[in-house]
Amino acid sequence: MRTSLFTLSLVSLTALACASTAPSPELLDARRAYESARVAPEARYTPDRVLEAKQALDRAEYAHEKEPGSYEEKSLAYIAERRAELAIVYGQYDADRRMRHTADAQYKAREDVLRREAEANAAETRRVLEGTRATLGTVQGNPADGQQARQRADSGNAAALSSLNQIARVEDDARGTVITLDGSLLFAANKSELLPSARQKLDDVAKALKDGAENITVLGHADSQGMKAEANPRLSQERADAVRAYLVERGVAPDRMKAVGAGATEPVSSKATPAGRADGGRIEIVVEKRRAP
Amino acid sequence: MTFLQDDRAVLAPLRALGFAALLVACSSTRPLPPNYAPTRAAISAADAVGADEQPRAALHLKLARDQLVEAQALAQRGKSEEASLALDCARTDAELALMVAREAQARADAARAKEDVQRLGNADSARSAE
Repeated sequence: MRTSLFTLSLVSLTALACASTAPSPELLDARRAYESARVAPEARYTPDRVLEAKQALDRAEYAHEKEPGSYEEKSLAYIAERRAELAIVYGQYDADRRMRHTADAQYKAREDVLRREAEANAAETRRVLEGTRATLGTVQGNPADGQQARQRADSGNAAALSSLNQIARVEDDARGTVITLDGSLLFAANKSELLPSARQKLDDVAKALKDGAENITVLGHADSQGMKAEANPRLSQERADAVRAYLVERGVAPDRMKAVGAGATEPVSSKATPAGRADGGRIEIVVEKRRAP
Repeated sequence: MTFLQDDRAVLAPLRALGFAALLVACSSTRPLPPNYAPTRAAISAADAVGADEQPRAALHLKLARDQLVEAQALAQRGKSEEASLALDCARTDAELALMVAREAQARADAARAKEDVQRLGNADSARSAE
C-alpha cells in the first residue's frame, strides 16, 4: 500500500515535472509563427519587424524557463505570435505601397506621352488646315448682286490691285485706278497678237478685276516710233481689243469693258529718250471710280 | 509606425494621470496599470481605420477588446502584473488589427492604380489601331 502510494507520488511528480517543462501551446504557436515570418518573402523588406518578433519570442522563452506554464509565459508567447504575424503584414503593406507608387509613376509617364502625341496631332491638323486655307484663299468666287457682295468685292479688289504692283504700275488718277502695262511685255513690235508670256501677267490682272463691278476701259497706246503715224491708231485699237478679249476669256464680264485705241496722240512722256518711246507703247487698263448708287 | 508614435505621444501625460489616479483611488477601486490608456488608444485607432469591416482585422479587434475587459477584471482583483500582461496582449492585437486593415486598403489602392495604367495602355493601343 505504501509502496504504491510512493510510486504513485513519484510518477505524479515526474509527470508534473515533465508536464511543467513542456512548452505551452501558446509558446509552440509562437515558435511556429516566428519560423514562418523568418522565411516569408513579404518580410524580406522589413527585417526590423522580424527582429522585434524574435525579441518577443526570446522574452517568452525566458519566461518559460523561469516559470513554465505561467501566465507570463503564455501572455508573452501570445504576444510573440502576434509580432511574427505583424512582421509579415508590415512587409506586405510596404510592398503594396511600392507597387502603388510604381503604378502612379507609370500612369503619369504614359499620360505625358499621350498628351504630347495629342498635341503633335493637333499641331499637324492646324498646319494642314492652314495650308488648305491658303490654297482656297487664292481662288475667288463670283459674288452675287447686292451691296454687301459689292463691298466685299471692293475690299478684295483693293487688295488684288495692290498685288499687281509687282508686274504693272497701279496708280490712281482723275479717271480712276489705272493699271499700266508695258506694251513690249505684251506684244511683239508692231504686232497685236498677245505674246505667250503676256498671258500670265494678264491672268493676274483678270484675277484682280473679275470680282468687281466697275466699268473698265482698256486703252491701247501704240509705239510712236517706227510706224507710220496713220497705222498707230489701228494698232493701238487692235491691241486694246486683244487685251480686252483675253480678259473676257479669263473671267472679266464683257459688258463692263470697252477697248479703245488711243494711237500715238497721248504719249506719257517725251519720245526723245528710248525710255520715253517705250512708254508710248503701253496698255492702260482704267478701272473707273465707282459712282455712288 | 504611427501606432508606436501614438504610444509615445499619449504615454507621458497619461502616466502622470495614472499616478495621480493611483494616489486618489488607492482606497476605493484598484488602479489600472499604466499601459491601460495606450491600450485603449490602440484599440480606438484600429477601430477608426475600419478594422471591423475586414474579417481578419475584426477578429483581432475583438480579441483586443476582450483582453481589455479581462485586464480590468484582473486589476480589480489586485493582480496588477497579470493585468499589465493582458493589456500588452490587447495592445498587440489592436496593432495587428490596425495593420491588417491598412494593408487591405493599400492592396486595393495598388490594384486600382495598376488597372488605371492598363486602361491608359488600352486606350493608347486602341487609338493606334484606328
